[in-house]
Amino acid sequence: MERLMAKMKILKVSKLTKKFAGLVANNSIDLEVEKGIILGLIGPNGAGKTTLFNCISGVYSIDKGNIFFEDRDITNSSPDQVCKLGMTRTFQVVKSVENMSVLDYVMSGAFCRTWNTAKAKKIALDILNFVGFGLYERRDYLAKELTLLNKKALQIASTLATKPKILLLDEAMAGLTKNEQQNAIKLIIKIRDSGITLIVVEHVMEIIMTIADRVVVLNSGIKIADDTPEKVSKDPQVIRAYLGA
Amino acid sequence: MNLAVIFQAIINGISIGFVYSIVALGLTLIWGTMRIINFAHGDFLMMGMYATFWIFMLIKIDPLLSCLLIVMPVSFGAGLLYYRVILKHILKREVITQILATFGVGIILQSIAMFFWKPDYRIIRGNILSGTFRFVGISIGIPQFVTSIICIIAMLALFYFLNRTKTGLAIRATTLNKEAAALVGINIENIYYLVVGIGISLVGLAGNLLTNYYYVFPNVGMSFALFAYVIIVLGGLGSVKGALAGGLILGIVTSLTGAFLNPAFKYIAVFLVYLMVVVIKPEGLGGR
Amino acid sequence: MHFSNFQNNKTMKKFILFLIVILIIIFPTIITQPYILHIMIMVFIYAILGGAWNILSGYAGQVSLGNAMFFGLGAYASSVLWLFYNINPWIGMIIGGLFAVAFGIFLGMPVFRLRRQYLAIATIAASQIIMTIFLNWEYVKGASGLALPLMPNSLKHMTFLYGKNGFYFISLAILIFFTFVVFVITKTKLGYYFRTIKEEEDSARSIGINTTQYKLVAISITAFFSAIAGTVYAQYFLYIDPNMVFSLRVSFLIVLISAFGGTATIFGPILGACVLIPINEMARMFFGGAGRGIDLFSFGILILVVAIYRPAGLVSLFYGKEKLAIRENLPGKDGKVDGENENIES
Repeated sequence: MERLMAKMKILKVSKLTKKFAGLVANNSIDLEVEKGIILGLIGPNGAGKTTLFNCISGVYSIDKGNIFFEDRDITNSSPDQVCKLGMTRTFQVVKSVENMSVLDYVMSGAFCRTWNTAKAKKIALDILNFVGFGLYERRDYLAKELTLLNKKALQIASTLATKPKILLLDEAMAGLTKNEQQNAIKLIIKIRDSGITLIVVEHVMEIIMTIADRVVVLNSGIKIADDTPEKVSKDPQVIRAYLGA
Repeated sequence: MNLAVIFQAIINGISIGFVYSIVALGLTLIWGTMRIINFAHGDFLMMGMYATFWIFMLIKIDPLLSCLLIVMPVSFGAGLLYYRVILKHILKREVITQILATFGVGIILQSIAMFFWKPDYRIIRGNILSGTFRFVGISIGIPQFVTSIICIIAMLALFYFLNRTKTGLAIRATTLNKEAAALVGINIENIYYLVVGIGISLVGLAGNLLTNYYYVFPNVGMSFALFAYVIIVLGGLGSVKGALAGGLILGIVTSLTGAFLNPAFKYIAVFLVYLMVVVIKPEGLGGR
Repeated sequence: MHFSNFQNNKTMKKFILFLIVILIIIFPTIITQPYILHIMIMVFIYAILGGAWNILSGYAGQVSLGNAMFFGLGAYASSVLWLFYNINPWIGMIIGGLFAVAFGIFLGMPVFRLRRQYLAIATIAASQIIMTIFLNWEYVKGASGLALPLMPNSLKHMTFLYGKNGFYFISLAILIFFTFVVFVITKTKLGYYFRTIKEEEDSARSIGINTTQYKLVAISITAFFSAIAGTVYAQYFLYIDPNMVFSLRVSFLIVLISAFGGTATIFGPILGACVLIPINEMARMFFGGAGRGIDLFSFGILILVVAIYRPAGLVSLFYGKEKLAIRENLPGKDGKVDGENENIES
């Protein structure tokens, strides 16, 4: 039974194509994500990773193809609809409020699942405890007073408050020190262990190799590899893509 | 539909359109660099008009002469002062605060005009630029004609400045990407001073030209300003060519509606155009 | 900055607030000069208008510079229904409110794609269009305005020809009710969503907020209460014309009241109205035509001072040290202003 559950595809992307005035950012991409894994999404700069995120999470409308979330067609849904269904994402350049307190912002995420303020507060406090990084202690701080690391943690906290089934992390490690990255990795694994599926875009190879169950490689809009980390790291096509043609 | 009437309206529209463009140019430069919409713009225009008017009435210097020698330099200085005293302090504030501050300046200017010169409508008489001449059966006002010529010259000068001089390119760079401009050594604050100075001197120019044939009263800035906001959006924020195109379009639209419909509908026509453009093509015609 | 015990003590503030409310309620029994009561009525009406604006533009961050259009629509709706169709002003008030809501949604749908100043200018455009329509519309007598029916005094007909007490209590009651509504909003999902939309609209969508829908909710609340204030205004003056209710001057006064008092606060607009409206009314009375320059001038100076030195508004005078630090971007609890690098982990 458990193996059956593990094999369920929580997200299925079929022939997804996105064009921008002549440039094909995502070219007929197929992707399947099993429930409960960490999927790494890598590729050289400009490969189309963030575009893919934007298409899946509803920020962009797509030109061709379909997206299925838990067997439900969510193609061209809006980000808020997608969030209510259970998928949220973080942004590469941290998008966070400035003049709201940490707690209030996470509560806004929690309100996705309830109308009750007290309940939202409880959910938010639990999430702040779960995420760590000193957020709980700083719950009355205004977001603008936080360090970059804490802002990133806050962004993750607000998405977790929406009780997602799948979370898309876009370059969460950017701008962090080695030390900070280790703590971020711990958090990501903690999130996966709590039952949430993760798709993680990352540039730092070591991180992906450490945490990902499977790795998908994009290059110039096309998927060129989709396998375990070990196999991908030895794939000649992948190596060529990164070393440049 | 008398063709001559239409043609006449279009000619008038083009003439006033150039003035709109000049007004809008200052606004779009300030917006492009500082991301602030100057809600006092029209009131600076009004002050330029009053300055020109009183210089003529009291010192007997014709608007045509006072333009380059007095009104524009003083306007430039006023712009520098405006930046130093007000704009500099609201650069990083919330939108509502910026709107309020610039609007506050406008109100103060209006109240000064109202207090010293009362709400009376005034018009200049006996200035050099007056009268009309006929051309192919159409009557063209001399002040309007000269105004158009001077506006075209001013816009060409500005265009040359922005595209061929080092300072002008620095301004354009700032419009495109402030941080990058700072990184290559451009002194952003100097750019701000300069842009506001230029913007207000343009408005002073427009005011000076208008005084030759337009009524002067404390609220005169209002309608020009409102149209200017529409123009800079129509033309695309930060776009010089867009401001020109937008000004002409608006001038012709208002002139035609004024000629054939109730003049009150000028406003409606203009604002409907604005609403349609921002909803359909938010980047404006100049597009950026 | 002197932080007395008063500013830092919450219970004391609540008690003082309670006293003030009691005082205001018994006020007309102590002070009976009609002129002073008139000013109070105008303060209440504008406090409602300012507070209504605050919902859309302060809390939700969608700056509108044309709120007079909702005010005027409410005033005209109930007046037309009363004058031409004999519909009771109280009912007309609700109908006018709903009509304004419909208009707000109709306007909001295309216009909420715009952000910041673009949106503000669009609201100016819309309100100018409305004003021009009403100035030239024969059905509502255009620029001549509408003179409302002179009925005998009665609460049922919202008519009080003699004495100011009637409208004093009506407008006060509506203000208290409305303030309560604002309070509830700030404590619930709506309030949190509005603030998130104001702060960071892009990521708001990603955490499940349908930003367009909630902006429309905000404009509906704003439109409804602005329109109600319009009806009270019309019934009080028994005469309205487009310049009185639709002009930019009214719109800007509404904005000014809220900003001066403090945007995105419950008491800001009320405080702002208490200071600015008496100035407005007295200047109009004592200085007449030429003096119009003086009240404008003082408003201009006030706006500038607030915008440059205390953007948080008048309300911030009552804040304790902590809250002031938040609103004024002073060093936070640790003494840090920007995020400085510190040791990670809790």
